[in-house]
Amino acid sequence: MRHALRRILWIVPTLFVISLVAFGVLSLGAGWAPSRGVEDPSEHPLFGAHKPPRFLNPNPVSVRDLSLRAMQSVALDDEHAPAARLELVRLGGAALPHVLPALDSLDPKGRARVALGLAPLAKRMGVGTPEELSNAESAVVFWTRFWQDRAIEFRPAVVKRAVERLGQKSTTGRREDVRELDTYALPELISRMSPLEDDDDLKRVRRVTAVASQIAEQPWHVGKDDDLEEARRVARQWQHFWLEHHADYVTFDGAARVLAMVSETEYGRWAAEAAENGLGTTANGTPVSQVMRTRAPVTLWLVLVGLVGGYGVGIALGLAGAARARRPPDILTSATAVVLGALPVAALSTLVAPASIGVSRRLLGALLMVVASAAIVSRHQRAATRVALDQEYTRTARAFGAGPWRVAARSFRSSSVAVLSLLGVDLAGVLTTAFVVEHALGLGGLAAVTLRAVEAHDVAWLMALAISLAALLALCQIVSDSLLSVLDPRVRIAMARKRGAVE
Amino acid sequence: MNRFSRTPSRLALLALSLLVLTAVFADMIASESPIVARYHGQLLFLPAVAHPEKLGPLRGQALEDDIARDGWALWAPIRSGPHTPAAVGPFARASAEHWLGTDAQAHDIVAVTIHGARTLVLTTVAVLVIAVGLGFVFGTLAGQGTPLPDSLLSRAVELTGALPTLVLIALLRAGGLVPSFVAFVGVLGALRTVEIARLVRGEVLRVGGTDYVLAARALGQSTRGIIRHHLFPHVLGPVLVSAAFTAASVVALESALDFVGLGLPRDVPSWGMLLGQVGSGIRLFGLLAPASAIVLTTLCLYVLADGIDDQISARGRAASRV
Repeated sequence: MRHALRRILWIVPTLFVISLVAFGVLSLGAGWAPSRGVEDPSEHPLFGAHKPPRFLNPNPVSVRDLSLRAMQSVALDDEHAPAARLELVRLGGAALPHVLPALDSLDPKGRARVALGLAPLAKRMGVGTPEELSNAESAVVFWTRFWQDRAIEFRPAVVKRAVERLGQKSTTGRREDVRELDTYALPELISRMSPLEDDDDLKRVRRVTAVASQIAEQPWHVGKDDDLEEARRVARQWQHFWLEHHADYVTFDGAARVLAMVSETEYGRWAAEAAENGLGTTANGTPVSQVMRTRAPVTLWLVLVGLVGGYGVGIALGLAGAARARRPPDILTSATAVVLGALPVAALSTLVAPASIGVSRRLLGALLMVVASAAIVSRHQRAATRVALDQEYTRTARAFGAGPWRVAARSFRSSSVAVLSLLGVDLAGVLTTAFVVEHALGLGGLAAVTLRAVEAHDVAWLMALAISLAALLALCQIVSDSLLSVLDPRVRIAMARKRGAVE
Repeated sequence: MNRFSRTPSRLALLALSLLVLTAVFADMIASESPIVARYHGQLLFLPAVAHPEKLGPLRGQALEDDIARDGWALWAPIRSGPHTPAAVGPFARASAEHWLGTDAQAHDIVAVTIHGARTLVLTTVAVLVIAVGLGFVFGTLAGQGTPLPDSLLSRAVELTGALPTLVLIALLRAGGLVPSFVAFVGVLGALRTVEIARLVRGEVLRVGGTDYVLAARALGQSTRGIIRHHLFPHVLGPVLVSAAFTAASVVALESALDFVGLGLPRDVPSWGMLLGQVGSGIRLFGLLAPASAIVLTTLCLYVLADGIDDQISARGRAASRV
C-alpha cells in the first residue's frame, strides 16, 4: 500500500518531464501561439508582439527594456519611430517611471520628440491641456513637472489604495485617480477582478473593468445589465490578456526576475494557461476540459471493454485451450487466435465497418476491441497454462485422477500472473487499437479531435492528451503491479526486500 | 524438434521471402512502362526508374504503339503503376485491366498493393537495423554493468511505456519538423531498441555468470572474444524472435497509422492507406488484397517467431537434460 502511494506521488515529476518533452517536440516546428491572440496595436518586428524563447529566458524582457528601447527610437527619430510612438502610448503609465527620469539624459531635440510623442497618453490619462502638449518646449516642461509632482504616486501602495477605493464606489474623483496612473494600475485592476461570487463582487468588477478597458484600450467591460455569468466571461478575457501581456506592464526585480526566466517562455505561458483554466483552450476556442468531458468517455469505454472483455475471454480461451491441448477444439481456437491476433485491427475494422449498418456501432466497436485484445491474451494464457501443467505437482495431480479441466483451473493462480503483468504494458496498445476502431466506425471520440489537432497544430489539445494519457497509463501500471503482488507472493516478497534495501 | 512445428515456419519463411522479392522487383511486376525496351535504337532497362526522359513524352497506349513500330519491349505483367492515374477514373469496378479496380486517386489497387510491399519492407528493414543494432550494443554494455548505459536503459524502459505509440507519432507529426517516414522509423526504432536492449541485457547477465564464461575469462580470453564466442550465440535466438515481433508490430502499426492518416504521405503507396479509404466509396472487393496481405504477413511473422522460439526452447531442454 505504501509502495503504491509512493509511486502515485512519483507520477507528478514523471508527468512534468513528459510535458517538457512533448512541448519540446511540438514546438520544434512552429512553436506555441496563444490560442486566442489579442490583437497587438503595433505589429512591428521591434515592438509589440515578441516571441519568448522555448524553455529558458536568460533575459526576460519587461516594461523597462521595452519603454527605454521605444524612447531611444523616438528620440533619434529613426525609421522605427512611428511604431515606437505607438508602443510608448500602449505601454502607457507603466512606462513613465522609466521614461520620464531618463528624459534628462537625452539631447534637447530628442527630449522634445519624446515629450510630444507622449501627448496621446496624456490625453488618455486626462492630464494637461492640448495647448501645453502640442508645443515642444511646453510639453517638455509639462512632463518634467508632471514627474516632479506625481513620482510619489507611482508606487504599489498608492495604486493599491486607489484601486481599492474605486472598487468600493465609483465616483469621478476615484476614477480619475486610477486613470492618472494609467497602465501602472493594471496589475492591481486585474487582481481586483476576482473573486466574483455575489452581487457586490459584480458591482466591483463592473467598476474595475470599465476603467481597465479605457486604460488598456480593450473592449471588454461589464455592462449595466450584464449578469454574473457575463461578468465572469469578461474577467476571464482580462486574465487571459494579462497572461500574455503582463510583461509589457510590470518590471521583474529580484526573485521575480528569476521566476520570469522560467515563466516568460513559451513553456511557461502554456503551463500558466493550462493551470488557470483546466489544460488550456483548443484551437477553435473550446476549453480542453470540456472537449475531454464529451469525447473521452467514448474512447475510455472502448478501452475498458477491450481490457475487461479481452482479458476475460482471452484467459478463459487460454485455459480451455491448454486443458484440451492438441485436440481439434484447441487447434481450432489457437489457430483462430493466431489469425485474429495477426489481423491488425485496421484490417479488421475495415472489413467489419460496412456491417455496422443495423447493428449499433458502439456495440460493434466493443466487439472489435474484445476480439483484438482477447486474441493475444489467449495465446499468452495458453502458453502459461501449458507451462503450469508441465510442473511436477500438476502431473502428480493428474496421476491421482484429477481431470484436465480441474487441473487447468487450479493452475490459474500461477498461470495468470504472467498475463496480468502484461496488463499495464498492454494498455498503451489497447489505446492505439481504440483510436483505430473509433476512426473506422466514426464513433467520434478522442481520435477524431486528435487527428484534427495534428492538422491544425493545436498544441493545447495535444499536450492535454499526452499528459492525461500518460497519467492514465502510469495509474494502470500501478494497479497492475498491485494486482500482481496480491496474486504472486514471490513478487510481494521481492518488493518488500527491495524496499528494505532502499530504506 | 519434431517436424510438426518446422513445416509451418518454413512455409512462413518462404512466404516472407516472396514478399521481399515482390518488394525488390515491384517495378518489374507492376509498372506502366516496359522492363526492357529497344526504342529509337537504344536499349533501355527499366526506363521508368533509370532514365524516364529517354522514353519521350508518350505514355500508355501511344507509347506502346510507338515502340511496336520501331523496336520491341518486354512489358511488366501488370500494366499499371502506383503513381499514374488510370483512364477509368477513381473507384472503378474490377475489370480485365484493373483486376481489383482503382482507388480514390484512380490508381490500380493491385499495383498499389505490390508497391505497398516495398514501402513496408523498407520501413521494416530500417526499424530492424536501428532496433537490433542499437539494442544489441546498449544491451551488451548495460549487461556488463557499465553504469551509464544501465541507468539510461532503465529510464528508457520506464519512458517507453508512458505514452501510446500513436500519440507519440501524433506529437511528432504536429511538431512538423521531421518527415513522417523519419518520425515513424525513429519512434518505432527507439521503442524496439529499448525492448531488444532489455532482452540482450538479461541474457548477458544470465550467461555472464555461468561457469564456462568464468573459465574462459580465467584462461585469458578477451571481453570481445567472450562476447563473440559465448554471448552472441545465446543472444541470437531471442533477438531473432524479438526481431520477428518487431517486424509484425511495424506491419500492424504502419497499417494502423496510414489507416487513420497519421502515417506516410498520401502519395506513397501503402496497404494501410488503401484500407483507410474504406468509407470513401472504394469497392470492398478491392480491399481484400491489402487486407489479406497485411494478415498473411503478420501471420507469417508470428509463425516464424513461434518456430524460432520452439527451436530455442528445444535446444535449452536438450542441453538441460545432458
